[in-house]
Amino acid sequence: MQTRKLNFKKQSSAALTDQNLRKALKNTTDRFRASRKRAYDELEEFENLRTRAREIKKETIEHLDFYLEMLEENVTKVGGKVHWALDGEEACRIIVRIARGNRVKSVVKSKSMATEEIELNHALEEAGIKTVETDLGEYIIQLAKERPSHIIAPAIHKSKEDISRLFSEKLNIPYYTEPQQLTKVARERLRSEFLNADMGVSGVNFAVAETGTIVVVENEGNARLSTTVPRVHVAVMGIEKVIPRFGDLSIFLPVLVRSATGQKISTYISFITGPKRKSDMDGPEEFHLVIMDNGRSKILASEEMRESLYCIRCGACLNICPVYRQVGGHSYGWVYSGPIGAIITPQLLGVEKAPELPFASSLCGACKDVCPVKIDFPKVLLELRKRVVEGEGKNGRRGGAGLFERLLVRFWRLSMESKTAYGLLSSLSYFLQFPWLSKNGKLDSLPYPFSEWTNDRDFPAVAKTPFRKRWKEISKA
Amino acid sequence: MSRDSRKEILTRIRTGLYGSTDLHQQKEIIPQTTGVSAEHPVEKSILVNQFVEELSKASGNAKIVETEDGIRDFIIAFVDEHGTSSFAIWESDLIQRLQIRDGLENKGLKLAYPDNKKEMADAGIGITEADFAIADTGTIVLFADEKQPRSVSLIPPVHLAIVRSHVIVRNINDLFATLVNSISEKSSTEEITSCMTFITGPSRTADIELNLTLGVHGPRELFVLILS
Repeated sequence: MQTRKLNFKKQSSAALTDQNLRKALKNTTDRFRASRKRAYDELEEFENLRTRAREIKKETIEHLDFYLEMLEENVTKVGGKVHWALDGEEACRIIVRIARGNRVKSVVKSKSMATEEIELNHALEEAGIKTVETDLGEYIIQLAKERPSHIIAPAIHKSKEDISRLFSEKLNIPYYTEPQQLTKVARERLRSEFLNADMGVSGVNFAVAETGTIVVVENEGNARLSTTVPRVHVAVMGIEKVIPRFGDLSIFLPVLVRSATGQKISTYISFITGPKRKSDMDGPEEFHLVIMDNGRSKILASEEMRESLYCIRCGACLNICPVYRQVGGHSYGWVYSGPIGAIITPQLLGVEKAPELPFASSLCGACKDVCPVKIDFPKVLLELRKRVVEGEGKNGRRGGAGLFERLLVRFWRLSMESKTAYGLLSSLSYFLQFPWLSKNGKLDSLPYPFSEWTNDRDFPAVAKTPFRKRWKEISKA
Repeated sequence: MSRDSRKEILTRIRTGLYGSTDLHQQKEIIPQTTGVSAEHPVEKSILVNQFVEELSKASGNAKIVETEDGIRDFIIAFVDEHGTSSFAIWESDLIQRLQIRDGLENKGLKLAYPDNKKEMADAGIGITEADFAIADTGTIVLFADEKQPRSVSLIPPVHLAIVRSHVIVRNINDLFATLVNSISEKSSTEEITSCMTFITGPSRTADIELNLTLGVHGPRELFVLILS
């Protein structure tokens, strides 16, 4: 579990100097954005679907206990086993226990942010169980021992040269340069892993309470293989992934796929209801669903923050975010990045561990505009900023505003609320500014404490005649 | 233990939402009218053409065949062309009636049994029949059951699916409306298939520099044979 404090400022500054990363990010986010826009324009009722999707998520989250119990009942009815985990450590313990109980020696995994969150691979390896990521992007970062940098395309920060080098070093093969060749290598290597693995672990895009069905959305086929061939299937989900009815999928599937990659539909969607039936010739003999809290119930308890749980992990907010697009996923320090990372990382890890993230935003609101479930990111970010400033996290630079900052803000408030004080201040600042005016007429490096502002942003010069005086003239005419 | 965690999680949720842990009033699950599309049925040939067009956008191939015999002949020729030595097949009513399995075995091909991983790994082609198809996305829908094992459409590198034109529906709303109706007709959820799969074209990835590559882990070729 993440124990050290995340350092967004340092990591993003480093990312900004990495030209290759910036090129890759630009390319990726531009493409995803364009695809999403095409998909949005093409589907007339997309806007209605977004509204409906949010309504359903709201209904579900506000009765989460009811729907989770229904889900458990229906999964159990069809022969599946449901496990509840308070936190990531318990989820890992449960999964290792399932593996040991089934004498599992090797595991194939399909893409799951939830399992990255709890570092499941590490727990399995510690228990002596070989674990292989099978999604190509995840396979690449597993070989590189890195974290994902994007929710949908985890290895997007790696150029094909990086990947060629990685494969030739770690897999002992010649240096191939074409994506086709690299993909073929991955396919061949992973084929035997799929066929020989004892257990498959998957994530859950949606869990339908009404029927006990879990839904897995993908393009490669690795999730299908991981959940069909091995004799045990373990699916891991956060408590917020449940949806009420089977029919709700006709709304969620289109908005998820179109928002994520701009496709009309992904290549494969699996709707899994329990283990194989007695008469089925193939399919897993055991199906386990691990329902995990790991900090989500805390988010649920706050009415203002609750909508953070509506997220369906599409990644659209990443692709549109002006901050993410410049610095990429690793700057956010944990498995979730972009706007969604900025709001759930501080909530899941504690505000004191990630106090910079709510400020890593210009509050432009583009994320809110593209979110398929219409999460009001700016509102949640502001609420988180308030918590940081009010000292919800006592340690760290921004953990609680210091006395000086408090005084400054009080002073600012007083001067804004009084017409006389405002007038006096603006005249005074006109005269005082001259030593610091730059050649191009901007205030770009003021002394402390104003340097806190001008280190990252310019201030326009204070005008000789303030607008309110000019307005008096204009309105007289 | 998991039971204690279950209780703890539900308590946390109830406290967070309702401020108390008293069992929340049992609520009725609100039935939703799945947005069913316009009432007048679309002409079958339009659906077929749309399906073929969308499937080809997703890099799948399709051919329309007029007769059942045409199906058998095509499949045998197709498998021959691909030069594979073993195949896997579903025994749906249509496939059984057409004796496709016999036809292929007579050509010297070996049948791979889906419960044998080694045989499935060697099979060059998997032959199935779709339970449904969706026209506006070019998707085929396959249900798993005793005569329809999942791995046939998954492990072999080539997947051929027969689609009878009358199972093609217009869009995902119509499909879910049909599925929801059939689920509500079942006496229990135990009768729902253990695995329903939507398949749209061959497997693909764009994980390396967003470069589209086909044939990653699932089949690299999807061929749909439509019986009109």
